[in-house]
Amino acid sequence: MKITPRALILAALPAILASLGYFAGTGLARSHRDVALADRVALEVAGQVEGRTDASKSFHLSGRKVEELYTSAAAIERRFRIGTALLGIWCGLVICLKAVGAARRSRRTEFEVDQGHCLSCARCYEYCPRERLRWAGSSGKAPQKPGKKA
Amino acid sequence: MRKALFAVLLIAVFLTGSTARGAETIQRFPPPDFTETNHQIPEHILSSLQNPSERSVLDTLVLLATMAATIYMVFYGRTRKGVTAVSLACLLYFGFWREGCVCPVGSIQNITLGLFDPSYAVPWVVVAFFAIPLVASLFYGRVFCGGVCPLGTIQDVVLWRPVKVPRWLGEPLGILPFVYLGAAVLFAATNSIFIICSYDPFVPIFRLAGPLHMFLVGGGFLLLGMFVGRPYCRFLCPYGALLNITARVSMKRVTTTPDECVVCGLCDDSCPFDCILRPTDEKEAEL
Repeated sequence: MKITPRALILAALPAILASLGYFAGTGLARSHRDVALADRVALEVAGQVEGRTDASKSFHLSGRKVEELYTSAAAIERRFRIGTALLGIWCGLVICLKAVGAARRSRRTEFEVDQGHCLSCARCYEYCPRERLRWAGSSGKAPQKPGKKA
Repeated sequence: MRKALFAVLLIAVFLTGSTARGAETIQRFPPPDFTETNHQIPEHILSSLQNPSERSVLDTLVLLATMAATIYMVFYGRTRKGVTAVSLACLLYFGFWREGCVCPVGSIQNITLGLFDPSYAVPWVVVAFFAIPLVASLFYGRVFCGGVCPLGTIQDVVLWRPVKVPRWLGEPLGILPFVYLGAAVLFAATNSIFIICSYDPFVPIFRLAGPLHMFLVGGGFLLLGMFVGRPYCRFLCPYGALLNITARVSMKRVTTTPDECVVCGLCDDSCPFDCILRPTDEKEAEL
């Protein structure tokens, strides 16, 4: 089998996307309420923002220690980095499989339904001449012209 | 090979659904009483809080019945009119009456959170909505999409002049549902946000309530859906990504022709979703 530059890039893609995902994990972790709260509390403690948000007010009233919040946020960020790295591997694998599927030449002698993409809407039935013959045979009437295109 | 994959996927669906501990949907806390401010809880929230268990049973029974009806219409009755009737009924029931919730698309997140967080108990109705269409697709393909899903039907209703999406565009866009699926699982597993529900473009239309930007996104999808068949289903739906995998090993396969194909190409012209694979000539097959 010939190894082309494209094949090499595809093979390396999951690893590349996993690395990118790992570094993007810290940013995406901001979507978690505890991480966002830890950021806000850190800014308030450092005096870089004025006032408190409803979330930070609730936190201070709850009596929880700030260090506990920071530890929890750090753990969540670690989980996110691992998760986004895995997401990068998943995306890389999907792209590789799609590329391999698109390059594959399968032999077909007739029209076939793509089972993975077909939404089972039954639109094609009324356009098939064999189907119309079957209807005509079962109903005893002559086949009618198909209706408007879908 | 197909039978082996079928068995693996069936076991995977069963294990996923059973691992997420099904919980009874009960109303543990009554809605708050806003006597001081006289605030009125929106009707669509109030109605969902009343009799949750009975509604869950009814929703599941309706899902089973409509799935069975669609399977009959597609495989045995072979009638487009029947599928249309079932899908419109589901649009009215699951879409506008039940306001798009519970739905299999969002259930992915609940199941994921149930798997990663032992303290989260997934309601059994959510497990049912996750598993039933997947198990059906292992036997009959994507019948849920064609006859039951209200998100798909609302796009079907507006479909007017479908155009074929060129392959160079359609193939890369086909990756997006899998990316969205991965992202949804990530955010749910880390107990952050349920992005599928937060960014569902059609639920604000069903509820006539929601952020303005989601109304605009939903409207955009419907406008696009007038010319591109089911754009959300084909290029974004994360549950569709799962069904894409399971439908490939389904026991019964959708066939346009009841017996032999006369290679007229009318089915390919009629399909607005580019789901028909054309015959290949010998030269193309040898390349």
